[in-house]
Amino acid sequence: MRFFLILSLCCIVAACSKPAYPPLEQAKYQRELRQSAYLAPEFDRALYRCLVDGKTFLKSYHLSGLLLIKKTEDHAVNVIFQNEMGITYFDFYWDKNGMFRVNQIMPQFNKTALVQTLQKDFELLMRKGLPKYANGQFHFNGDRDTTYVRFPLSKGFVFYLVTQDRQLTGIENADEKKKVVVFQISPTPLKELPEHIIIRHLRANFTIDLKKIPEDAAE
Amino acid sequence: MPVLHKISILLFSLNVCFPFMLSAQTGFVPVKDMTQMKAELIKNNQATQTVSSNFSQTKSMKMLNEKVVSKGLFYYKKNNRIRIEYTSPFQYLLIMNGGNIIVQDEHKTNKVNTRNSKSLQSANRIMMDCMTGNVFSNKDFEVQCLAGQGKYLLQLTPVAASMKNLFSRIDIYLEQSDYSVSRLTLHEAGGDYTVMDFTNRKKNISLSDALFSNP
Repeated sequence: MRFFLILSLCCIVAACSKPAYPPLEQAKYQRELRQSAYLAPEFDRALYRCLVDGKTFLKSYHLSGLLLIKKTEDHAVNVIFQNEMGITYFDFYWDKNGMFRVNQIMPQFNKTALVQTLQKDFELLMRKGLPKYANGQFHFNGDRDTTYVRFPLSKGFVFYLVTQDRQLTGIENADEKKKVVVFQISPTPLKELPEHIIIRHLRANFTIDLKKIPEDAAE
Repeated sequence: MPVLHKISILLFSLNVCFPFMLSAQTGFVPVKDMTQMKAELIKNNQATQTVSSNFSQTKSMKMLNEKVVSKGLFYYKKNNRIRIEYTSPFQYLLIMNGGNIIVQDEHKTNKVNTRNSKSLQSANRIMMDCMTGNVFSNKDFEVQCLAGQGKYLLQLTPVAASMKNLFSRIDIYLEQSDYSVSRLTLHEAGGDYTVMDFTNRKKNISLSDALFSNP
């Protein structure tokens, strides 16, 4: 009896919990923002300093290395994370049709949930696997400079935060109840990869901090 | 002459000649007197109190035709103390002091859990082994010693499963003149490799203990 009472209370609390976003204000329709292709970055290569911080029930962890994003001649993309001494943690690959595979991965990283989470992060960043058209454009909190462009995903949806001068400032992935992943991005033209990205995994409790390394930095 | 006989002779010739062909290609041949080489290595390392050098590291990704270059400073001090300081294109410090590994990046300083960082542990163990002359006693690897071009080339092939996951082979180049490490190449199983070239090498200069303590 007590169990059912607690269960009911939990259900009521869950039902009353705030949705991920309050009612959003419909933005003035901007035709080009509707197309995912318009939002997609064009790049050949980007090298990032990558720092990962996280927490589990038992302990905190910290990891660092270099993350290389490279487009090949046949329009495939590799995302490679390696430690400072050059040892590869993982090598992810998307073919020209966006089909994903793991080329190489260290046993410690080879967990299905982790691979799927990272795959989704990079796909959101590169605007891969999005439907052709957005299903909404909104303003949030009275900020009319930023348009939240919404694309439906197989689970939940994603917002791309685009300013009036067509700079990307954030990416937010959520379901109806909660935000799952939030990308904080240094304002970046839509067609470029950002200089600085902080990816916060709100459920999985870890953060990826990516800072672009200039091409000639080691010369 | 029967065809089978001809094939046998050809195979025999290839078997006999191939190692020499390979050596001629790379310019390195197997060392005949390993005992003397090992003794010289140990003797030299016993006389080495400190080492200081610059390094340039190039990671080559075979499939992508891509190279990632980084640079830094390397220090060794007896006993068992190593400092690897990446200065470009990122800041990263790694100190190995006895059994402790400390790393410092832009965010924080950490003691590394070596159970989770086999690659770091093994790369540093190898460097330490080179400095102390213990490279032949590392049970994780089978060591082959070649010589040529004024250098010794120690080829370390992993025996332990944990090492096989990380490396297909490690090459250590030692200068024959003073047994200092001039190059370290880490070959990964997938075909990628990382080359560390050590330049401006100085032995037995004064190095402060503070270089090897918690920053």
